[in-house]
Amino acid sequence: MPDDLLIQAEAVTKTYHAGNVAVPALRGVSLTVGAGEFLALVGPSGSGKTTFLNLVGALDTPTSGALTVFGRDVARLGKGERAELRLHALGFVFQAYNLVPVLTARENVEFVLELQGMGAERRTRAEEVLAQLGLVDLADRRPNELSGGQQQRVAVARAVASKPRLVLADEPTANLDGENAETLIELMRTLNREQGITFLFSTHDPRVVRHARRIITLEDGLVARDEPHTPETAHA
Amino acid sequence: MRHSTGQIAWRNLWRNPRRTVLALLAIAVGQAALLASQGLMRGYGDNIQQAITGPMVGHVQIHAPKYREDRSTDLVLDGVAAMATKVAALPGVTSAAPRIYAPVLIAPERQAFVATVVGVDLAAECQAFGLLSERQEPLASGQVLIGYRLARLAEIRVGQEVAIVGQAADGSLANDLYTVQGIVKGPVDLVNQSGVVMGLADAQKLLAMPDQAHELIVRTAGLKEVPALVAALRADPDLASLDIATWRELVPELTMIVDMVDRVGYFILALILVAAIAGIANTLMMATYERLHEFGMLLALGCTPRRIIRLILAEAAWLGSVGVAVGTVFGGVFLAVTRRTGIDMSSWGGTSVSDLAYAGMRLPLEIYPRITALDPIVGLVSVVLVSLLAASWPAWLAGRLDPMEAMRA
Repeated sequence: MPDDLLIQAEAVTKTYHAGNVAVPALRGVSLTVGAGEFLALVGPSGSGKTTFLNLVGALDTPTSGALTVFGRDVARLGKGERAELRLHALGFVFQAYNLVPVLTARENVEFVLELQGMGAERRTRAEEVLAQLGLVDLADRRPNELSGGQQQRVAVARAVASKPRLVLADEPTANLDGENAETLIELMRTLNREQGITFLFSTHDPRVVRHARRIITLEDGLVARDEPHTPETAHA
Repeated sequence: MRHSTGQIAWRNLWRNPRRTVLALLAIAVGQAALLASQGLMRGYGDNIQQAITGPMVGHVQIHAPKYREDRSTDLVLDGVAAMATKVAALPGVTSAAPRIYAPVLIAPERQAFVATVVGVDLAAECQAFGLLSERQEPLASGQVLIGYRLARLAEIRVGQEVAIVGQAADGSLANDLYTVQGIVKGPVDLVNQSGVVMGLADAQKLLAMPDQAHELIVRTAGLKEVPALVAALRADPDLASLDIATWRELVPELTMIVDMVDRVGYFILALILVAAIAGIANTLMMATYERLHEFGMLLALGCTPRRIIRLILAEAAWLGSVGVAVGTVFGGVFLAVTRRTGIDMSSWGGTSVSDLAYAGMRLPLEIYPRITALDPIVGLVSVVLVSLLAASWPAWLAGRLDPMEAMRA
C-alpha cells in the first residue's frame, strides 16, 4: 500500500443482527482514499455512511472483505491496537460535538494530547490550535457556555490537535445552522489545504457537500457513485 | 493546567450536585456517628477501667492464698510493712498500700448495724486514685470515717462516739470505741454503703493483726507496666507463695465489658461501611449509566478502558475521602464540646441516679468522650477502601464498554 494511500476498502461488508434478523449495512464497498483528500460520503439515511466511518475509525470490524487503514488490516487488530490507531493516527468529529462537559475548551483539546502522552507542551499546542481556529477567547469556557457552532469548532480543534493524517467526521454540521455549518466546513477545508490533513466526512447537507473535492455516494450499502468534485463547479 | 484523572473526577462529582451532596452527607454522618460512638464507648470504657484500677482494685493485688475466695479475717499477709516498702520500690510502681477488711457491728447508740472495717494506709490512700483521694483532713488514731449511706442508715453524726464489735484475726473478740471524724462519700461503693474507715495501725490493733493486712493494693504508672510487674512479683521468692492477681483477674466481668466496648466500635464501623457502600455504589452506578455515551466517546478518541476505570475509582475515592473529612469535622465538633461538658448518661434514663455500682465499685455515669488519633484514620481508610470496592462494579462495567454501543446509548 503506497504511503499516500490511507484507506483501502475491498468488498467490505458489515451485517448487524437484530435478534435473528440479519441487517446488512454495507454490502461490498470498495474504494480507496489518498492523503490530502477532502472527501464527502453522501447518501440517504441507512445507506451505510456512519457504518463505513465506524469501520475506518476502527470502532468496529467488517463482517467480510478487506479494510486497511494506514496499511493496517482493521479486522486483524485487537481491541487495544484499534484504540492505539484511533488515538495516534485518527481524529474524530462527532455529530453531537461530544466534548467532555467538565473540561474547558482548552482542556478538551489538551485531554486528547494528554492521552497521547504529550507532556507540558500540550498546553502550548492546544492554544496554538485554538488560535488557528479562532477560539482563543473561548479557551476557558466549558461546553455549556459555548454555542453549538463554537462547540463543534472546539471538537475540530480537538480532532486536529495531535496532527492526525486522517480526520473522520460523522455529520459534523447536522446540528448547526447554515452559517455555522458553512464556517465549520470552511475551517475543515482550510486545515485540509494548509496542513494536508485528510478529511472524510459524512453528510447530506448540500451546503457542505459543495465544498468537497470528491464525493462518494452510498446507496443501500454499496458505492453508487464516486466522482471528483470542485467547489467552483458546485458554485457554478 | 494539568487535567489529571483526580481533577476530572472531582469535577464530574459536581455534575449532579444534589446527588453528590446527599452521598457525601450519608458518608459524613456515618463518620461523625463512628467518631461519636467511638468517643462515647471509649469514654465509658475509661470510666470502667478507672473505676477498676482506681481506688478499689488498683492494678495488682497481693493476698494470702484463698483470701479472695473465703474473705476470712484470719487469712493475712505477714510482714506487710516491709512487703509494701519492697513492692513500692519496684520499677513502674507508684504506690503499694496495705488494707484490712473485716465485718463488724457498729453501734452508735443502742442499736447495732452491720459494717465493714476498712483499715488503710492513710498516706497512700489520700493520694490520687486512693480510697480517700478526695480527702485532705488527717485522720488521727481513734478516729474513723463513716460511709455516707451507713451514716444515714445508722443516723451517725460527725463527732459522735461509736462502738465497734467484731472478731479479731486470732479469733478473739475485737471491740473498741472510736470518734466519728467525718462522713465519707467516695468512689468505692463498699465504703459508702458499710465502710468504717480507720488508720491501718488502729485496724491492726482492733483486729489483733500486728504488721499484718489482708491485701496489698499496688498501683502502677500505667496499664502497660502491669505484666512486667506481675512477672517480677511472682519471681520474688518472698512473694511467690502469695496470691498475686492483676486487675483483669480480679474483676473479669468488668474487664470483659471494657473489651466488649472496644468491639462495639468495630460493629458500628461495619454498619457505617455497609451504608457507605450502598450510598457510593448507588451514586456511581447512576453516574456511570448517565455517562455511557461520554465514555463511548472517550473510548472512540483512544482513551483506554483502564483510564476510565481509574476515573470512576477516583470519583469514588473523592466521595469517600471528602465525606469522611466532613464527617470528621462534624464528629470533632461534637467531641470537642462534649469532652468539655461531659454527657450525663443517668439523665437519659430519667432518674436521679448518678452512679452505677458493681462489685463494690462506683461506675460514674458522666461520660467524657475520648478518641484516639487512629479513630478518624480508621474511618478514612475503611471508607475510602469501601468506596473503591463499591465503585469497582460500575468501573468494571465501564471498562468493558464497546465504544460504538456506548455512544449509541
